[in-house]
Amino acid sequence: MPVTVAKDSSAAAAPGRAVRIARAGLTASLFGAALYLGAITVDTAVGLLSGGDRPLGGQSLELPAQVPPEQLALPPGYERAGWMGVTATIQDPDGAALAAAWAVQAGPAALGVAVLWLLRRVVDTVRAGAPFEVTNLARLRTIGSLLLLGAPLLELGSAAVRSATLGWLPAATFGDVAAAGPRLPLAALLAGLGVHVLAAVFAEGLRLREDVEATI
Amino acid sequence: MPRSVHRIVVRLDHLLEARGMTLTELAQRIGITIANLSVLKNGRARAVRFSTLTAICEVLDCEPGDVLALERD
Repeated sequence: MPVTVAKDSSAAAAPGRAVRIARAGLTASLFGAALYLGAITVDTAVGLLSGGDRPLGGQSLELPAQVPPEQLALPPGYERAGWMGVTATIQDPDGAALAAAWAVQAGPAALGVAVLWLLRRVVDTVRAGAPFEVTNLARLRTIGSLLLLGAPLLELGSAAVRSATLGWLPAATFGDVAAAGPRLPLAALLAGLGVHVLAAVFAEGLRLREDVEATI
Repeated sequence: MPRSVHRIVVRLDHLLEARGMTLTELAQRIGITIANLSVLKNGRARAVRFSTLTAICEVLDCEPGDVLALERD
């Protein structure tokens, strides 16, 4: 006698809509990140070939910097703790400056593209009704590692590049100027940990799925 | 969680031979695929549903103890 299992249509419909929305959002984000990465790469490449004149960035380059609070003309009763982040504009940047700026921008963009691509592949398996696959385990662990290791490394690398390019910043007549220091990518670290936990959940799901499939 | 190790033996071969029935015919009569029934017959299944065991016993006119046995050391 064949065994049939009644399906809960309401439970099946709700996750389907959420998954479709998630995939659409991931696709849009992935497209945007890839477009941004491509645009800054082409823009920098053209700038390098044309002696600093970029189609998107023009003949100037913006780099983050910091100024001390005592240089700010704040009214009485107002104060700021710590150095203030500003944007410094470099006119007619040379090839080294263009390459440095590209590296600072392209690193996080490339990390975003990789994470979004992998996450979209995971969502595709959910849409197909087969999320508990070994490939998804690998994808989730890769995403987690990219966030846990990649984000801090990129931030350290960006800070190093910013320090190295301090000499390119325009001369400040009001006092000290410093390169923007590294910031702890807390959100990325927490997200990376969360994804690794999710990978452990998927590992258990994979085990349960294999048990179900081997149940006759 | 470690995977469970069992010593349950499925004696479908003997029962089919005694009843003069093929595995394909049994699969058709109990409503599961021949592939799944082969998994069960060859001892690669991790569990058996009561509904499947009921169907096998009804078709082969036997008891569950005739289908499953414990392999003693």
